[in-house]
Order: sequence, then C-alpha cells, then structure tokens
Amino acid sequence: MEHFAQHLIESTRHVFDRMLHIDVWADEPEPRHEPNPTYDVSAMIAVAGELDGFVVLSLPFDTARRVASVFAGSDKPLSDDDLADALGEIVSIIAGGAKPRLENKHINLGFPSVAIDAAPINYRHDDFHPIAIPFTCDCGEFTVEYALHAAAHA
Amino acid sequence: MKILLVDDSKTMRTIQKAVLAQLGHTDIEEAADGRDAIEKLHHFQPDLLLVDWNMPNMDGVSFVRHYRATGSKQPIIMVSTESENSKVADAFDAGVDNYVIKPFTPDILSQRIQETLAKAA
Repeated sequence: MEHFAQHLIESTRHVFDRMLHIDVWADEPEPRHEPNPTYDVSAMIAVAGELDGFVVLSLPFDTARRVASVFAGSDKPLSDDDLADALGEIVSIIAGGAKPRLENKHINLGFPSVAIDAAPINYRHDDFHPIAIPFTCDCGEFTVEYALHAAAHA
Repeated sequence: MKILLVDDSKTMRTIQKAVLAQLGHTDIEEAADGRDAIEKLHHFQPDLLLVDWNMPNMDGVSFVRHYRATGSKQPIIMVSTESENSKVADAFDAGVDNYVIKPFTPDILSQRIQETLAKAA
C-alpha cells in the first residue's frame, strides 16, 4: 500500500502516453491537508474491498478542457457532460492500471463521479489522509490524489 | 459488417468508433451498459461486439454470459481496465474471444479487432 503513489505515477504516465500521446512529469507526492482536491475540476473513483479509499484526478478548468479534448479526439469545446465523461474515464483507467499492483489485495473500483466547480468533493474524514501527486504536461498542471486504508471489515 | 459497442463512457465509444472507422467499419450501434445492449439486440444483430466490463445496471461479463446463453456465437472483444490474470480468465470463461486492456493505442485495438475477425471467418 505504501508504494501506491508510485503505482499511480506509472499508471498516469502510461494512460497519458498511450491514449493522449502526451508526456507527463510527476513531482514528489505530498500530504493534502485541505478538505478538497487541489483544483476546480475533480474526477473521483472509490476504492472498496480489503481497502477503502479513493483516487481523484484534479485539474484546473482550462487544463481539464484541454486534456478531455485530446482524449476524446475533439477539436471542438466539450460540453460539461462530455468533459465529465472523459475525465471519469481517464481516472477509471488510471486507478484500474494501479489496482493490480496492490498484490494480494482484493479491491474493486466504483463508478467515477466528477465535480466541475459546484459541489466540490469533500475529503473531510478522520480516517483518510490524502496524498497529492503533482503532475505537469503540455496541457498544464494537475494532480492525482488518493487515500487508502484497510477496510474495517477486512 | 455490423458492430455493437457497449461502454458506459460516451468518450470511450467515440474513441473506439474512430478506430473502427479507420478499418472501414461504420455500421455501428452503441449501448451504455449490458441492459441497454440487450435492448439494442432486438433490432440490431451485430457481427462483432466490443464490450466494457465495469458498467452500471449490467456489467460486461454478465452481458456476455447472457448473450452466449441465447446461443449467439458472434465474436466478442472485451475492452476493460481489468487486467489481473484471474479477471481476464473470468472473461474468457464467460465467452469473450479476445481481450484489450485499457489504456490501449489505436494500433492495439485495431490489431485485436482484425485478429478476432480473422479467427471468426
């Protein structure tokens, strides 16, 4: 579990390379003390099973639009629904790529939820201590944030 | 050739449609989950299906089992983030003919489609 940040970095690089043809660079993971993701637009996927938690892709709005457009292969501005769909799929693939590397942990991923401006995702929970991994790419800056802990019932 | 795309992400279906278009396939129907796909099959008889695993209402493996239980033998490619060997084995046990792990490049998806169609011919 302690190597999950590295798994997410590798998965994020892999997703951006294969499906967006964009190189991304990761900085050092750091604890996120604020109660919300770093940026305005956040796509979250829940982790359940032997581990509880979440993985979040958080981006400034302009970066989110650029990343989603490249992913969708669209040169037109995406609607909010299409933006949410694209970012939800990206975070699903990132989390899905990191999941098998949690050896001997039986976990499942939920369906993504995406917050654009209004009703931001709230991290406030005594059991979770989110970690944020900063990334940079040609589309701008973003973070992949996560928190995981052993499930109470596991 | 008629192709049914089953994925809850419209974006992913668009990406797959672009690859299929490059291969000359444009007679495509879309479904957002397994239950929607069953509805679409009432009026659309595909020659190939591309099916996601994790979808609301009815997941891809349940849909594949349902589809095979009807006696349908058209080739199915699962396109999924699930990459553990046990999961891939479960999909083949359910009746898929080939498997593509997300993320994929257009070349990988194109190659899997062509080899699946060649085997089915």
